[in-house]
Amino acid sequence: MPSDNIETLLRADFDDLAGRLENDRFVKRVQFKLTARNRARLGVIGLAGGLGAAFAASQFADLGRLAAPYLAEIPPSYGVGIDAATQISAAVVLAAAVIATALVLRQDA
Amino acid sequence: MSPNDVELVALAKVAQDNAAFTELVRRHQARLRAFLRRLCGSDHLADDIAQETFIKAHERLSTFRGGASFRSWLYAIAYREFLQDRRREKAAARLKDALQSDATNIESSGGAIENGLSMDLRRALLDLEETERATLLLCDAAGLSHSEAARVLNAPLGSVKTYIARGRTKMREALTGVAERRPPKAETTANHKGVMYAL
Repeated sequence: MPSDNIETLLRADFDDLAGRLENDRFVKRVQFKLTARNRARLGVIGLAGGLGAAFAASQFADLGRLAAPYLAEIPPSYGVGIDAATQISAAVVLAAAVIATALVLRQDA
Repeated sequence: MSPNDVELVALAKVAQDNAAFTELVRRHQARLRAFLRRLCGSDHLADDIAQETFIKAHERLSTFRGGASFRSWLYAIAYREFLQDRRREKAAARLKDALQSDATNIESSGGAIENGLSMDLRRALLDLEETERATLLLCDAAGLSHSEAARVLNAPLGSVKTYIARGRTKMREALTGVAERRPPKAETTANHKGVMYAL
């Protein structure tokens, strides 16, 4: 029947085309697109975490100055100098913020 | 045993499993793109629509109920995307350009099938009305049932059968005309005879 032959021709052409499309890079392109939004979200989280940590670190100098009179009463053998204390604290908080952000990113990924 | 489509959809939905969705893409992309390429007549446009289809499918996975096959659900999204794209004025110009460049590609690309029968088929297909072309491709080429095609096209079953009958008649007339008009050349004679005998 003629209509069956049209069907055969169409199917042969279609199968041939589909076969040629089977192993190109389309799947990878779709995968990349699908994860693009996730990557953008992770970027925003990372940026926010970094900014927050930097802001927190910038406050330590003021906190150190506020705490200076009390720290002066502590004998030198019990602690480090005020300048060193603020820098170390800032470094510790920054490191903690970076670790926390990294943990969030790792769970999301 | 590899999981079926419904199981993969469940995995992708419940466990947010990207690997499961990627497997669905891997399974269906070639035939979906072949459908869209023959429907649009443009490889680039078809691949763009296919990509958009999979992204939409991923976003709307929670709306897939499992009553219909995943394949027909996917093809329905693709067909809607195709129609939307056609409605955009910009796309019309893009399609025109793409068709022109594709026509050049067809002429210049090698292979007896690409230069002979397949090219005539593509031209005959592109001369059909959109719904006839889509229905023929879905049922005759991609192997969907009439009811699946009706779901994809959002058309009554009776209309699908009419589109198929009309489409086949037009294709047969177009291909017979092509075969009769062609001068007998050594390298393409076999293909033309194939068309003549096939019809």
